[in-house]
Amino acid sequence: MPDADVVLEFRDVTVLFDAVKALDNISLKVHRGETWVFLGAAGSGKTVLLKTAMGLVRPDAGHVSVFGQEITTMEERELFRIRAEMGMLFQESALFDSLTIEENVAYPLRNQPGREVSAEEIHERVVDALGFVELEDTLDKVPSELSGGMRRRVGIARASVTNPPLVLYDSPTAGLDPITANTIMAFVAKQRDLKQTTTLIVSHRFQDGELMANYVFDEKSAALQRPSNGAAPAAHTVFAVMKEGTIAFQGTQEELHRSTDPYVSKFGGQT
Amino acid sequence: MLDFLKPPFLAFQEFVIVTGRAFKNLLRPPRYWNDVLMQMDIMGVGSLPIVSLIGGFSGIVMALQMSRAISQYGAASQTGTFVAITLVRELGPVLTAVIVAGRNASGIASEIGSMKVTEQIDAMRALGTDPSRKLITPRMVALAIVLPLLTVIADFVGLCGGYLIGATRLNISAPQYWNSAQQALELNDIAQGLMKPFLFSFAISLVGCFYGMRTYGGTQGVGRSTTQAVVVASVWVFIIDVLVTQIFVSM
Repeated sequence: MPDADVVLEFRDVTVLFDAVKALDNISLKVHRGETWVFLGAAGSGKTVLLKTAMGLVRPDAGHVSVFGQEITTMEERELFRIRAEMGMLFQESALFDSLTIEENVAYPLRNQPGREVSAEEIHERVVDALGFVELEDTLDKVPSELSGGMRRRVGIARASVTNPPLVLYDSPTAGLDPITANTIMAFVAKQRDLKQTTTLIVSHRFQDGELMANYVFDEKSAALQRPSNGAAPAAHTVFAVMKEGTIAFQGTQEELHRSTDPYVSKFGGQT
Repeated sequence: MLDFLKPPFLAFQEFVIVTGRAFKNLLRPPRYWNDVLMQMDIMGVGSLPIVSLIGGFSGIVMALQMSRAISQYGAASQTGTFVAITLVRELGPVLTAVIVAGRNASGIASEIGSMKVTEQIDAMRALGTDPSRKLITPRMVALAIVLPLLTVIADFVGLCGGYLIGATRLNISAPQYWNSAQQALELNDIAQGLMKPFLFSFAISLVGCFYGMRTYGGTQGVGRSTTQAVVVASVWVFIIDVLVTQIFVSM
Protein backbone atom coordinates (compact mmCIF):
# COMPACT_ATOMS: atom_id res chain seq x y z
CA MET A 1 0.00 0.00 0.00
CA PRO A 2 1.25 3.53 -0.65
CA ASP A 3 2.63 5.39 2.34
CA ALA A 4 0.06 8.15 1.94
CA ASP A 5 -2.38 5.67 3.39
CA VAL A 6 -0.42 5.24 6.61
CA VAL A 7 -2.57 6.46 9.48
CA LEU A 8 -0.30 5.53 12.35
CA GLU A 9 3.39 4.74 12.30
CA PHE A 10 5.79 3.64 15.05
CA ARG A 11 9.51 3.76 14.23
CA ASP A 12 11.80 2.02 16.75
CA VAL A 13 9.70 3.22 19.67
CA THR A 14 10.93 2.50 23.18
CA VAL A 15 9.05 3.51 26.32
CA LEU A 16 10.67 3.15 29.73
CA PHE A 17 8.89 2.99 33.07
CA ASP A 18 11.73 3.51 35.50
CA ALA A 19 14.19 0.91 34.22
CA VAL A 20 11.60 -1.43 32.71
CA LYS A 21 11.03 -1.36 28.98
CA ALA A 22 7.25 -1.15 28.57
CA LEU A 23 7.74 -0.92 24.80
CA ASP A 24 10.96 -2.22 23.34
CA ASN A 25 11.97 -0.95 19.92
CA ILE A 26 8.56 -1.29 18.29
CA SER A 27 7.96 -0.50 14.63
CA LEU A 28 4.65 -0.81 12.85
CA LYS A 29 2.57 0.83 10.14
CA VAL A 30 -1.21 0.97 10.31
CA HIS A 31 -2.88 1.76 6.98
CA ARG A 32 -6.21 3.46 6.44
CA GLY A 33 -9.15 1.10 6.89
CA GLU A 34 -7.16 -1.66 8.56
CA THR A 35 -8.16 -3.38 11.78
CA TRP A 36 -5.31 -4.24 14.13
CA VAL A 37 -5.84 -6.69 16.95
CA PHE A 38 -3.16 -6.67 19.66
CA LEU A 39 -3.12 -9.79 21.79
CA GLY A 40 -0.79 -10.59 24.64
CA ALA A 41 -0.44 -11.32 28.33
CA ALA A 42 -1.12 -8.66 30.98
CA GLY A 43 1.84 -6.30 31.25
CA SER A 44 3.07 -7.03 27.75
CA GLY A 45 2.73 -3.37 26.75
CA LYS A 46 -0.57 -3.36 24.88
CA THR A 47 -2.13 -0.45 26.77
CA VAL A 48 1.10 1.55 26.69
CA LEU A 49 1.18 1.09 22.93
CA LEU A 50 -2.29 2.64 22.54
CA LYS A 51 -1.45 5.47 24.92
CA THR A 52 1.76 6.16 23.03
CA ALA A 53 -0.21 6.30 19.78
CA MET A 54 -2.44 8.97 21.37
CA GLY A 55 0.51 10.94 22.69
CA LEU A 56 -0.56 10.28 26.28
CA VAL A 57 2.77 8.56 26.90
CA ARG A 58 5.92 10.03 25.39
CA PRO A 59 8.44 7.59 23.95
CA ASP A 60 11.95 7.62 25.38
CA ALA A 61 13.33 6.74 21.96
CA GLY A 62 11.98 6.48 18.44
CA HIS A 63 9.25 8.30 16.56
CA VAL A 64 5.48 8.11 16.37
CA SER A 65 3.51 9.75 13.62
CA VAL A 66 -0.24 10.01 13.28
CA PHE A 67 -1.86 11.05 9.98
CA GLY A 68 1.65 11.77 8.71
CA GLN A 69 2.45 14.18 11.52
CA GLU A 70 5.27 13.49 13.90
CA ILE A 71 3.80 13.68 17.42
CA THR A 72 6.84 12.64 19.45
CA THR A 73 8.04 16.18 20.03
CA MET A 74 4.70 17.96 19.84
CA GLU A 75 3.57 20.21 22.67
CA GLU A 76 0.47 19.16 24.56
CA ARG A 77 -1.50 22.05 22.98
CA GLU A 78 -0.78 20.83 19.47
CA LEU A 79 -1.46 17.24 20.50
CA PHE A 80 -5.06 18.18 21.33
CA ARG A 81 -5.56 18.94 17.65
CA ILE A 82 -4.30 15.47 16.64
CA ARG A 83 -6.24 13.71 19.38
CA ALA A 84 -9.42 15.35 18.13
CA GLU A 85 -9.04 13.10 15.08
CA MET A 86 -8.81 10.00 17.24
CA GLY A 87 -11.19 8.24 19.60
CA MET A 88 -10.21 6.03 22.47
CA LEU A 89 -12.14 3.62 24.64
CA PHE A 90 -10.24 3.18 27.87
CA GLN A 91 -10.03 0.04 29.93
CA GLU A 92 -12.95 0.19 32.40
CA SER A 93 -14.32 3.04 30.20
CA ALA A 94 -12.88 5.93 32.30
CA LEU A 95 -16.15 7.85 32.23
CA PHE A 96 -16.10 11.00 34.39
CA ASP A 97 -18.13 10.01 37.40
CA SER A 98 -19.07 13.53 38.38
CA LEU A 99 -20.78 14.12 35.02
CA THR A 100 -23.99 12.71 33.57
CA ILE A 101 -23.91 10.36 30.61
CA GLU A 102 -24.94 13.21 28.31
CA GLU A 103 -22.15 15.45 29.63
CA ASN A 104 -19.67 12.60 29.32
CA VAL A 105 -20.48 11.97 25.67
CA ALA A 106 -20.64 15.72 24.94
CA TYR A 107 -17.21 16.27 26.55
CA PRO A 108 -15.07 16.05 23.39
CA LEU A 109 -17.56 18.20 21.44
CA ARG A 110 -17.42 20.89 24.10
CA ASN A 111 -13.72 20.76 24.89
CA GLN A 112 -11.71 19.78 21.84
CA PRO A 113 -10.03 22.77 20.23
CA GLY A 114 -11.47 24.06 16.98
CA ARG A 115 -14.96 22.69 17.48
CA GLU A 116 -17.62 25.37 17.32
CA VAL A 117 -20.71 23.32 17.92
CA SER A 118 -23.97 24.86 19.12
CA ALA A 119 -25.70 23.49 22.22
CA GLU A 120 -28.58 22.05 20.17
CA GLU A 121 -26.22 20.33 17.77
CA ILE A 122 -24.21 18.89 20.67
CA HIS A 123 -27.40 17.45 22.15
CA GLU A 124 -28.41 16.02 18.78
CA ARG A 125 -25.05 14.38 18.21
CA VAL A 126 -24.93 12.99 21.74
CA VAL A 127 -28.36 11.43 21.28
CA ASP A 128 -27.20 10.03 17.93
CA ALA A 129 -24.01 8.58 19.40
CA LEU A 130 -25.89 7.03 22.31
CA GLY A 131 -28.49 5.70 19.89
CA PHE A 132 -25.67 4.04 17.98
CA VAL A 133 -24.91 1.92 21.08
CA GLU A 134 -28.63 1.66 21.94
CA LEU A 135 -28.44 3.66 25.15
CA GLU A 136 -30.38 6.81 24.22
CA ASP A 137 -32.50 6.57 27.36
CA THR A 138 -29.57 7.02 29.77
CA LEU A 139 -28.87 10.71 29.07
CA ASP A 140 -29.50 11.96 32.61
CA LYS A 141 -28.01 9.04 34.49
CA VAL A 142 -24.55 9.10 36.06
CA PRO A 143 -21.95 6.40 35.30
CA SER A 144 -22.34 4.68 38.67
CA GLU A 145 -25.96 3.85 37.80
CA LEU A 146 -24.93 1.81 34.76
CA SER A 147 -23.62 -1.74 34.52
CA GLY A 148 -20.07 -2.46 33.34
CA GLY A 149 -21.23 -3.38 29.85
CA MET A 150 -23.37 -0.23 29.56
CA ARG A 151 -20.46 1.92 30.69
CA ARG A 152 -18.33 0.32 28.01
CA ARG A 153 -21.01 1.22 25.44
CA VAL A 154 -21.12 4.83 26.68
CA GLY A 155 -17.32 4.80 26.35
CA ILE A 156 -17.71 3.75 22.72
CA ALA A 157 -20.26 6.53 22.17
CA ARG A 158 -17.90 9.08 23.73
CA ALA A 159 -14.97 7.83 21.61
CA SER A 160 -16.99 8.01 18.40
CA VAL A 161 -19.22 11.08 18.88
CA THR A 162 -16.77 13.22 16.91
CA ASN A 163 -16.63 10.65 14.07
CA PRO A 164 -12.86 10.20 14.28
CA PRO A 165 -11.21 8.30 11.42
CA LEU A 166 -9.02 6.35 13.89
CA VAL A 167 -10.44 4.63 16.97
CA LEU A 168 -8.46 2.79 19.64
CA TYR A 169 -10.10 0.27 21.98
CA ASP A 170 -8.30 -0.78 25.13
CA SER A 171 -9.60 -4.18 26.27
CA PRO A 172 -13.22 -3.52 25.29
CA THR A 173 -14.37 -6.90 26.61
CA ALA A 174 -12.22 -7.29 29.74
CA GLY A 175 -14.21 -8.39 32.77
CA LEU A 176 -17.47 -8.89 30.86
CA ASP A 177 -19.50 -12.06 30.47
CA PRO A 178 -19.33 -13.68 26.99
CA ILE A 179 -22.75 -12.43 25.89
CA THR A 180 -22.09 -8.81 26.86
CA ALA A 181 -18.60 -9.11 25.38
CA ASN A 182 -20.08 -10.12 22.03
CA THR A 183 -22.53 -7.21 22.18
CA ILE A 184 -19.64 -4.82 22.76
CA MET A 185 -17.67 -6.33 19.86
CA ALA A 186 -20.73 -5.95 17.65
CA PHE A 187 -20.72 -2.20 18.40
CA VAL A 188 -16.99 -2.04 17.71
CA ALA A 189 -17.56 -3.73 14.35
CA LYS A 190 -20.57 -1.49 13.69
CA GLN A 191 -18.41 1.57 14.25
CA ARG A 192 -15.76 0.16 11.90
CA ASP A 193 -18.07 -0.99 9.14
CA LEU A 194 -20.62 1.82 9.06
CA LYS A 195 -18.20 4.69 9.58
CA GLN A 196 -15.15 3.15 7.88
CA THR A 197 -12.79 3.83 10.72
CA THR A 198 -9.31 2.48 11.13
CA THR A 199 -9.46 0.40 14.27
CA LEU A 200 -6.90 -0.73 16.86
CA ILE A 201 -8.08 -3.20 19.46
CA VAL A 202 -6.18 -4.45 22.44
CA SER A 203 -7.51 -7.65 23.93
CA HIS A 204 -6.55 -10.81 25.71
CA ARG A 205 -9.37 -12.74 23.99
CA PHE A 206 -8.64 -14.29 20.64
CA GLN A 207 -12.39 -14.43 19.94
CA ASP A 208 -12.48 -10.61 19.77
CA GLY A 209 -9.94 -10.69 16.96
CA GLU A 210 -11.68 -13.58 15.29
CA LEU A 211 -14.95 -11.63 15.24
CA MET A 212 -13.29 -8.58 13.79
CA ALA A 213 -11.49 -10.59 11.11
CA ASN A 214 -14.36 -12.73 9.91
CA TYR A 215 -17.58 -10.88 10.57
CA VAL A 216 -19.14 -7.68 9.36
CA PHE A 217 -21.90 -5.67 10.92
CA ASP A 218 -25.10 -6.12 8.98
CA GLU A 219 -27.26 -3.03 9.18
CA LYS A 220 -30.55 -4.79 8.35
CA SER A 221 -30.38 -7.47 10.99
CA ALA A 222 -28.40 -5.17 13.34
CA ALA A 223 -26.06 -8.03 14.14
CA LEU A 224 -22.69 -9.49 13.22
CA GLN A 225 -22.73 -11.78 10.21
CA ARG A 226 -20.23 -13.58 8.08
CA PRO A 227 -20.04 -11.95 4.63
CA SER A 228 -22.55 -13.88 2.49
CA ASN A 229 -20.23 -14.66 -0.43
CA GLY A 230 -17.71 -16.25 1.90
CA ALA A 231 -15.20 -13.49 1.26
CA ALA A 232 -13.23 -11.81 4.00
CA PRO A 233 -14.61 -8.46 5.24
CA ALA A 234 -13.50 -5.35 3.43
CA ALA A 235 -11.46 -4.28 6.42
CA HIS A 236 -8.14 -6.07 6.39
CA THR A 237 -7.35 -7.45 9.84
CA VAL A 238 -3.81 -7.69 11.16
CA PHE A 239 -3.05 -9.70 14.28
CA ALA A 240 -0.14 -8.74 16.51
CA VAL A 241 0.94 -10.65 19.60
CA MET A 242 2.90 -8.67 22.18
CA LYS A 243 5.40 -10.10 24.59
CA GLU A 244 7.33 -8.08 27.18
CA GLY A 245 7.19 -4.87 25.20
CA THR A 246 8.01 -6.38 21.81
CA ILE A 247 5.84 -7.56 18.95
CA ALA A 248 6.39 -11.32 18.98
CA PHE A 249 4.14 -11.95 16.00
CA GLN A 250 2.51 -9.91 13.27
CA GLY A 251 0.39 -11.29 10.45
CA THR A 252 -2.97 -12.60 9.29
CA GLN A 253 -5.28 -14.92 11.17
CA GLU A 254 -4.06 -17.96 9.19
CA GLU A 255 -0.45 -17.11 9.91
CA LEU A 256 -1.30 -16.80 13.58
CA HIS A 257 -2.94 -20.23 13.52
CA ARG A 258 0.12 -21.71 11.87
CA SER A 259 2.56 -20.18 14.33
CA THR A 260 4.52 -22.77 16.27
CA ASP A 261 5.95 -20.32 18.80
CA PRO A 262 4.72 -21.59 22.19
CA TYR A 263 3.85 -18.08 23.46
CA VAL A 264 2.21 -16.87 20.25
CA SER A 265 0.17 -20.02 19.75
CA LYS A 266 -1.43 -19.49 23.16
CA PHE A 267 -3.23 -16.53 21.63
CA GLY A 268 -3.97 -18.26 18.33
CA GLY A 269 -7.23 -19.85 19.34
CA GLN A 270 -6.06 -23.30 18.18
CA THR A 271 -5.75 -25.01 21.51
CA MET B 1 23.04 8.72 51.29
CA LEU B 2 22.48 10.21 47.85
CA ASP B 3 20.01 7.46 46.98
CA PHE B 4 18.16 8.25 50.16
CA LEU B 5 17.87 11.95 49.30
CA LYS B 6 17.02 11.53 45.63
CA PRO B 7 13.28 10.74 45.84
CA PRO B 8 12.31 13.73 48.03
CA PHE B 9 14.33 16.08 45.83
CA LEU B 10 12.78 14.69 42.68
CA ALA B 11 9.33 14.98 44.26
CA PHE B 12 10.01 18.59 45.20
CA GLN B 13 11.25 19.36 41.71
CA GLU B 14 8.09 17.82 40.29
CA PHE B 15 6.00 19.84 42.74
CA VAL B 16 7.68 23.05 41.59
CA ILE B 17 6.91 22.17 37.97
CA VAL B 18 3.25 21.42 38.77
CA THR B 19 3.01 24.70 40.68
CA GLY B 20 4.65 26.69 37.91
CA ARG B 21 2.25 25.27 35.36
CA ALA B 22 -0.77 25.95 37.59
CA PHE B 23 0.21 29.64 37.75
CA LYS B 24 1.11 29.83 34.06
CA ASN B 25 -2.35 28.56 33.17
CA LEU B 26 -3.77 31.82 34.54
CA LEU B 27 -2.11 33.76 31.74
CA ARG B 28 -3.62 31.97 28.77
CA PRO B 29 -7.11 30.64 27.97
CA PRO B 30 -8.94 28.32 28.26
CA ARG B 31 -9.87 29.17 31.85
CA TYR B 32 -12.55 27.20 33.61
CA TRP B 33 -14.37 29.76 35.75
CA ASN B 34 -17.32 27.44 36.35
CA ASP B 35 -14.99 24.97 37.98
CA VAL B 36 -13.57 27.77 40.14
CA LEU B 37 -17.07 28.64 41.35
CA MET B 38 -17.93 25.01 41.96
CA GLN B 39 -14.76 24.48 43.98
CA MET B 40 -15.40 27.68 45.97
CA ASP B 41 -18.75 26.20 46.88
CA ILE B 42 -17.37 22.74 47.74
CA MET B 43 -14.34 23.95 49.68
CA GLY B 44 -15.53 27.30 50.99
CA VAL B 45 -19.21 26.87 51.79
CA GLY B 46 -18.61 23.24 52.65
CA SER B 47 -15.95 24.08 55.24
CA LEU B 48 -17.94 26.93 56.78
CA PRO B 49 -19.69 24.97 59.58
CA ILE B 50 -16.60 23.18 60.87
CA VAL B 51 -14.39 26.26 60.56
CA SER B 52 -16.90 28.42 62.48
CA LEU B 53 -17.28 25.75 65.13
CA ILE B 54 -13.56 25.38 65.70
CA GLY B 55 -13.10 29.17 65.57
CA GLY B 56 -15.81 29.62 68.21
CA PHE B 57 -14.34 26.99 70.50
CA SER B 58 -10.83 28.38 70.23
CA GLY B 59 -12.14 31.83 71.20
CA ILE B 60 -13.93 30.31 74.19
CA VAL B 61 -10.88 28.34 75.30
CA MET B 62 -8.58 31.34 74.88
CA ALA B 63 -10.81 33.53 77.01
CA LEU B 64 -11.19 30.78 79.63
CA GLN B 65 -7.46 30.20 79.87
CA MET B 66 -6.76 33.88 80.21
CA SER B 67 -9.62 34.71 82.51
CA ARG B 68 -7.83 33.37 85.55
CA ALA B 69 -4.44 34.80 84.80
CA ILE B 70 -5.59 38.26 83.84
CA SER B 71 -8.13 38.72 86.61
CA GLN B 72 -5.28 38.17 89.08
CA TYR B 73 -3.69 41.31 87.66
CA GLY B 74 -7.01 43.10 87.55
CA ALA B 75 -6.82 43.26 83.78
CA ALA B 76 -10.02 41.40 83.02
CA SER B 77 -11.22 44.30 80.91
CA GLN B 78 -8.39 43.53 78.49
CA THR B 79 -9.79 40.09 77.58
CA GLY B 80 -10.89 41.43 74.19
CA THR B 81 -7.36 42.58 73.46
CA PHE B 82 -5.79 39.22 74.18
CA VAL B 83 -8.37 37.20 72.34
CA ALA B 84 -8.30 39.51 69.32
CA ILE B 85 -4.54 39.54 68.94
CA THR B 86 -3.99 35.82 69.39
CA LEU B 87 -6.89 34.89 67.15
CA VAL B 88 -6.29 37.29 64.31
CA ARG B 89 -2.53 36.95 64.17
CA GLU B 90 -2.07 33.30 64.80
CA LEU B 91 -4.79 30.93 65.91
CA GLY B 92 -7.45 31.90 63.38
CA PRO B 93 -5.27 31.48 60.27
CA VAL B 94 -3.42 28.39 61.46
CA LEU B 95 -6.36 26.48 62.91
CA THR B 96 -8.52 27.26 59.88
CA ALA B 97 -5.75 26.20 57.53
CA VAL B 98 -5.13 22.94 59.39
CA ILE B 99 -8.82 22.10 59.36
CA VAL B 100 -9.14 23.01 55.70
CA ALA B 101 -6.00 20.96 54.97
CA GLY B 102 -7.56 17.99 56.75
CA ARG B 103 -10.83 18.39 54.95
CA ASN B 104 -9.86 19.65 51.51
CA ALA B 105 -6.27 18.56 50.82
CA SER B 106 -7.54 15.05 51.46
CA GLY B 107 -10.65 15.66 49.37
CA ILE B 108 -8.62 17.01 46.45
CA ALA B 109 -6.01 14.24 46.64
CA SER B 110 -8.57 11.46 46.83
CA GLU B 111 -10.75 12.88 44.05
CA ILE B 112 -7.87 13.48 41.65
CA GLY B 113 -6.18 10.25 42.79
CA SER B 114 -9.29 8.19 41.98
CA MET B 115 -9.49 9.90 38.60
CA LYS B 116 -5.84 9.03 38.01
CA VAL B 117 -6.15 5.33 38.82
CA THR B 118 -9.34 4.93 36.77
CA GLU B 119 -7.65 6.61 33.76
CA GLN B 120 -10.01 9.59 33.86
CA ILE B 121 -7.00 11.93 33.80
CA ASP B 122 -5.78 10.24 30.61
CA ALA B 123 -9.33 10.38 29.22
CA MET B 124 -9.39 14.11 29.93
CA ARG B 125 -6.22 14.60 27.92
CA ALA B 126 -7.51 12.34 25.18
CA LEU B 127 -10.73 14.37 24.95
CA GLY B 128 -9.19 17.79 24.66
CA THR B 129 -8.63 19.20 28.15
CA ASP B 130 -5.43 19.79 30.04
CA PRO B 131 -5.89 18.33 33.57
CA SER B 132 -3.61 21.02 34.96
CA ARG B 133 -5.98 23.72 33.66
CA LYS B 134 -9.20 21.88 34.36
CA LEU B 135 -8.39 20.43 37.78
CA ILE B 136 -5.41 22.13 39.43
CA THR B 137 -5.70 25.81 38.57
CA PRO B 138 -9.43 26.09 39.47
CA ARG B 139 -8.80 24.48 42.87
CA MET B 140 -5.82 26.75 43.50
CA VAL B 141 -7.72 29.91 42.62
CA ALA B 142 -10.82 28.85 44.54
CA LEU B 143 -8.95 28.12 47.76
CA ALA B 144 -6.88 31.32 47.48
CA ILE B 145 -10.18 33.23 47.50
CA VAL B 146 -12.08 31.28 50.14
CA LEU B 147 -9.39 30.52 52.73
CA PRO B 148 -8.86 34.19 53.75
CA LEU B 149 -12.65 34.59 53.90
CA LEU B 150 -13.03 31.48 56.04
CA THR B 151 -10.30 32.79 58.32
CA VAL B 152 -12.09 36.13 58.76
CA ILE B 153 -15.25 34.24 59.71
CA ALA B 154 -13.38 31.95 62.11
CA ASP B 155 -11.76 35.02 63.71
CA PHE B 156 -15.12 36.70 64.13
CA VAL B 157 -16.84 33.64 65.59
CA GLY B 158 -13.84 33.18 67.89
CA LEU B 159 -14.17 36.77 69.11
CA CYS B 160 -17.85 36.10 69.80
CA GLY B 161 -16.86 32.98 71.76
CA GLY B 162 -14.41 35.07 73.75
CA TYR B 163 -17.13 37.61 74.47
CA LEU B 164 -19.42 34.84 75.69
CA ILE B 165 -16.88 33.89 78.37
CA GLY B 166 -16.05 37.53 79.11
CA ALA B 167 -19.70 38.39 79.66
CA THR B 168 -20.61 35.31 81.68
CA ARG B 169 -17.51 34.79 83.81
CA LEU B 170 -15.70 38.11 83.92
CA ASN B 171 -18.64 40.50 83.81
CA ILE B 172 -17.24 42.48 80.93
CA SER B 173 -19.73 44.63 79.08
CA ALA B 174 -20.14 44.38 75.34
CA PRO B 175 -18.72 47.85 74.50
CA GLN B 176 -15.76 47.21 76.78
CA TYR B 177 -14.93 43.88 75.11
CA TRP B 178 -15.43 44.94 71.52
CA ASN B 179 -13.70 48.30 71.95
CA SER B 180 -10.62 46.71 73.47
CA ALA B 181 -10.61 44.08 70.74
CA GLN B 182 -10.88 46.70 68.02
CA GLN B 183 -8.22 48.97 69.50
CA ALA B 184 -5.82 46.08 69.93
CA LEU B 185 -5.75 45.28 66.24
CA GLU B 186 -3.37 47.24 64.09
CA LEU B 187 -3.07 47.20 60.33
CA ASN B 188 -0.03 44.97 60.71
CA ASP B 189 -2.09 42.32 62.54
CA ILE B 190 -4.83 42.33 59.96
CA ALA B 191 -2.37 42.20 57.08
CA GLN B 192 -0.64 39.28 58.75
CA GLY B 193 -3.97 37.60 59.48
CA LEU B 194 -4.96 37.78 55.80
CA MET B 195 -1.58 37.18 54.23
CA LYS B 196 -1.13 33.89 56.07
CA PRO B 197 -4.29 32.13 54.87
CA PHE B 198 -3.67 33.43 51.35
CA LEU B 199 -0.27 31.74 51.32
CA PHE B 200 -1.47 28.65 53.18
CA SER B 201 -4.13 28.14 50.53
CA PHE B 202 -1.50 27.45 47.87
CA ALA B 203 0.24 24.88 50.06
CA ILE B 204 -3.05 23.09 50.71
CA SER B 205 -4.50 23.06 47.20
CA LEU B 206 -1.26 22.41 45.33
CA VAL B 207 -0.05 19.70 47.70
CA GLY B 208 -3.47 18.02 47.42
CA CYS B 209 -3.41 18.20 43.61
CA PHE B 210 0.23 17.11 43.44
CA TYR B 211 -0.32 13.95 45.49
CA GLY B 212 -3.53 13.22 43.64
CA MET B 213 -1.80 13.48 40.26
CA ARG B 214 1.06 11.14 41.21
CA THR B 215 -1.26 8.46 42.60
CA TYR B 216 -0.55 4.94 41.40
CA GLY B 217 -1.53 1.46 42.50
CA GLY B 218 -5.32 1.36 42.65
CA THR B 219 -7.50 2.18 45.63
CA GLN B 220 -4.67 1.54 48.06
CA GLY B 221 -2.68 4.18 46.24
CA VAL B 222 -5.55 6.66 46.65
CA GLY B 223 -5.50 6.10 50.42
CA ARG B 224 -1.75 6.61 50.51
CA SER B 225 -1.91 9.83 48.50
CA THR B 226 -4.69 11.19 50.68
CA THR B 227 -2.76 10.63 53.90
CA GLN B 228 0.44 12.06 52.46
CA ALA B 229 -1.41 15.12 51.17
CA VAL B 230 -2.87 15.96 54.59
CA VAL B 231 0.40 15.42 56.44
CA VAL B 232 2.54 17.34 53.98
CA ALA B 233 0.02 20.18 53.59
CA SER B 234 -0.23 20.60 57.38
CA VAL B 235 3.55 20.65 57.76
CA TRP B 236 3.81 23.29 55.02
CA VAL B 237 1.17 25.39 56.77
CA PHE B 238 3.37 25.55 59.88
CA ILE B 239 6.56 26.18 57.91
CA ILE B 240 4.92 29.07 56.05
CA ASP B 241 3.50 30.32 59.34
CA VAL B 242 6.95 30.54 60.89
CA LEU B 243 8.36 32.34 57.85
CA VAL B 244 5.54 34.88 57.59
CA THR B 245 5.49 35.51 61.35
CA GLN B 246 9.24 36.07 61.26
CA ILE B 247 8.82 38.67 58.51
CA PHE B 248 6.03 40.51 60.30
CA VAL B 249 7.76 40.42 63.68
CA SER B 250 10.88 41.99 62.27
CA MET B 251 8.95 44.68 60.40
